[in-house]
Amino acid sequence: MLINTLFLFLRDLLPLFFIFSMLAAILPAALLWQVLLRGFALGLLLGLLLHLNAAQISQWWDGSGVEIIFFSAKAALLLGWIAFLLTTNNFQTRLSQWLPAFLLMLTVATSSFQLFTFFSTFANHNEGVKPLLLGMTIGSGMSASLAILLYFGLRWCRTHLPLLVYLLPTLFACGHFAKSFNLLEQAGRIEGSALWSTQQWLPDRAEIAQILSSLIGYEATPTSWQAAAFIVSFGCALAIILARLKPLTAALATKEATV
Amino acid sequence: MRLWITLLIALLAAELQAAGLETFTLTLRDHLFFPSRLEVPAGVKFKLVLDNKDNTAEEFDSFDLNREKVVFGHSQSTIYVGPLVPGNYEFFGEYNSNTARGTIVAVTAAEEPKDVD
Repeated sequence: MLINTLFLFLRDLLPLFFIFSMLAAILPAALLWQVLLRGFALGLLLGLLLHLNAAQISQWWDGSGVEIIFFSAKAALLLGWIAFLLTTNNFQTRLSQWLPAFLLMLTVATSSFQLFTFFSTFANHNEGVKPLLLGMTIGSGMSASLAILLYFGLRWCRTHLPLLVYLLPTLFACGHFAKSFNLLEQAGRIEGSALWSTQQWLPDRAEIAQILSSLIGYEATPTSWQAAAFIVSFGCALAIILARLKPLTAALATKEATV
Repeated sequence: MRLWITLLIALLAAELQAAGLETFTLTLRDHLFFPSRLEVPAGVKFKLVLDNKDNTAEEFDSFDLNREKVVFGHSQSTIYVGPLVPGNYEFFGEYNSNTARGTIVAVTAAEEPKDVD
């Protein structure tokens, strides 16, 4: 139970910590607090609304309501990030101020929905509260530690490897979008077979695989849909980054000046 | 754009195909799965109905099948699985993993599929 709770927290909480670290490395300090406030408030509200209506939502579209909403959220996350890459200059426009909040809101909403569902069953656990609390503490601690490491790594990259500061969130958005195709397969909306398997080297049940899954949407047995979605979306996003590397790097300098 | 058109065509094709699939049911009662060992045909896609008779939600989870689905209290959910290669595929309930556990066994056409409690 402890390991399961730990996995659950790595799966649901870690992406939230990761996106926060990535945005913190890119945005000016003053804007970051606005983004945090808007993103968390709207995201928690949306997550709570989803949770309160989850039983009904799960019956939509022949019982695949949750899958389709989650897939849409991941697609919106990717589109939001691409829009951010296309419009970011110096964070003076409203759009470049609201887009990061939108990205955070989507991640908070999907993560909090899963966690609300977990907490709603908390009182009815027949396996003791101690392993649950321990799993939650270790999961939260690991998530926070990894996010702090990522933040300081990206801070260093801001001056030495600015490309990486944008590349990692791109991998995050594209990876999560590609991984979400599994939800459509699970709902019977599309059909795909595994292209390859890395289960022998890094099985999905391993802690490292869970961390990579939260960071870049790692999947040990990706299907043709997932591979195609990743290649197309990452190719497009990379082309935008390379074409706009100058203004994007200048935007990081805006942060340096503000900090 | 091409990706979205392909996705739309695939959605329609999958929708038509899903109608004629074989259905298997896993029932969750008192945080236990019934049957705990479910035999399914290998090499074909099938529908798996998850019937939660408990008051609380449970998350059906399987690393082997690459599936995870929350089933709310006193409700049913359906997931699509396969085609599977012959073998054992473990699953568990994420919120009660000590008790809610089981195995899906994919068997070849020569063997008779059966459910064991």
